Amino acid sequence: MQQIIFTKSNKIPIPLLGHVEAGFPSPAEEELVDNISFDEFLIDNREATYILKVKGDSMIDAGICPGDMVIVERVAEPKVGDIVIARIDGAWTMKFFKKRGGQVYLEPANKKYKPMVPTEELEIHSVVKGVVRKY
Amino acid sequence: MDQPLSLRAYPRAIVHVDADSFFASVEQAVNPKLRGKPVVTGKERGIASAVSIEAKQLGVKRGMNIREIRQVCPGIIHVPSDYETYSLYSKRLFEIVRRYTPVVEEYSIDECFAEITGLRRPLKLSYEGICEAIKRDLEHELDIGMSLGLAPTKVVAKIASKWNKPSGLVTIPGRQLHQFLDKIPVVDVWGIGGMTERHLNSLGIRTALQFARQNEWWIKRHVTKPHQEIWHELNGRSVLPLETEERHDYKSISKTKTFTPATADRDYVLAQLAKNTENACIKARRHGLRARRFYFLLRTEDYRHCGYEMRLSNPTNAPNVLMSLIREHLDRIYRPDTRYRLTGVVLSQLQEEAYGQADLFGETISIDRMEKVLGVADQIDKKYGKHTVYFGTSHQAIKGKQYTGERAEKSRRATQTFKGEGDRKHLGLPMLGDVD
Repeated sequence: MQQIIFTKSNKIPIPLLGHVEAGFPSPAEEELVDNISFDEFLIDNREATYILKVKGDSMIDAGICPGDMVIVERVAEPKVGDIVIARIDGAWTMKFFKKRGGQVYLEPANKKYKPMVPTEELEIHSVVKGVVRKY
Repeated sequence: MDQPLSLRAYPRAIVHVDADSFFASVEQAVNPKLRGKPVVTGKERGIASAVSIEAKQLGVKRGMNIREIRQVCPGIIHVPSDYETYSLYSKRLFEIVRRYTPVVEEYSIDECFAEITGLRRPLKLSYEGICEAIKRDLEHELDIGMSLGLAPTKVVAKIASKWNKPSGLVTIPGRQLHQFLDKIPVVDVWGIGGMTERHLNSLGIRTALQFARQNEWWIKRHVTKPHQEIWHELNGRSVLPLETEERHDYKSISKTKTFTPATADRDYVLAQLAKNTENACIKARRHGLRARRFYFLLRTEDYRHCGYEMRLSNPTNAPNVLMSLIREHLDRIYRPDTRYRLTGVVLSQLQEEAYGQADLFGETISIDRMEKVLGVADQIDKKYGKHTVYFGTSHQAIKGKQYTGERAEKSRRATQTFKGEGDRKHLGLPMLGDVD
């Protein structure tokens, strides 16, 4: 079984297969819609897209678990509220990108961890576009 | 002396794109631990196959062996090559350049030529602006430094991209050609090697500009056709076309394998040759080609080579046919008291499968039958990964340990897999490792 969870799904075009009415066959207008592959569905800009494997549980309350695959894209500027990948002390870290009073910081989705306020420059690598979990 | 070589800025606008320290840069892009550190790739071969910018600054050079590298740079990080990931980045490099122009020549894994002549209006950018945009996309999306050269010809663009590495953009319009070429030693011109340099030096020519300034009569008298073309190109007259076809017109296919320690075990050598042959044939079949000549070779511990070449009456890409030839002729070159460190095979005089001709003795029928079997094997490999099925002779080479000690280390991508990925089948996206 495969379950796929998406963040920011509002940006991704999803094929609509018509309405289904319970109990009655529907004259669905399937022939009017096109199919896309999971690749196309999950990836916007292929040349800028990468994958990582989640290790810790710091984003567990956002529904991202250890062992999950995150699909990330290098974008020009992260937006406040995005889940981002940052390069800190020779390792990748994944947190919410937040801003308060002009100060950017990284916020985990797990009460066990504290927000990270960068002392120097914060190097944002990419923005999380999707999460894939295969059972 | 100040007279320009050309009066027009860009009669044609040709860009040369070159990734800086490509393999090492890819390693630094996918592994945050390697960022800003001296890194070399090629651990499995025991040499530096690519050198990061930081390691270059410390004096490490390409081709150095482990001992030499550690001597100049004790803190070096030596990683095994990960060609799968390099190839993904290479494809991305070309795809990004193709966003701007369809005329792209994939010159090697980490460099390309692109023609942007006439694209200023549709892209609403100057030629320099187009180069800046290409460079920005490449460096941002791939996270790797890129050096670009813009010039009216391929030869000058190639020299220009090298002029300001790393992460440089050098633009040489026709009017400035003479000022630029005055600074370039003639040997640094693409296509001019050491022999030609000595020849030109003896004629009093040391810089690219001095070469470019010669008149046509002199050029025709003193240099060969390829160098006459370079002379045109240096003068801003583009004569070398961009080869935009994807490269699949293989003239020959070769597969070699080095193994350490060297061995005198005949069965092992035979197994390595069988694996070389299988791999070469897989590639030939993928491209629909058959060989009319076949060559196999051995390299001894002390770097002596011996080989044996055959003409094939029936062009083939079937490994079993070639293996029986190797078995028959191996002892012509194999010496039991010698230790070998490399085996290899070469398929040459390749022709398209469709042109096969039946022979008089019915051999074609059994070949046909074998090809059906191999076709199925290819399908199985496609579904389950390379070498799912293979010949028994290759077993020792495919399943056996190829390296011992630290050279046996696998690339990161080979060890960081997701559920559902096989040993030899991975998702087609670069894997950056673990994230906390």
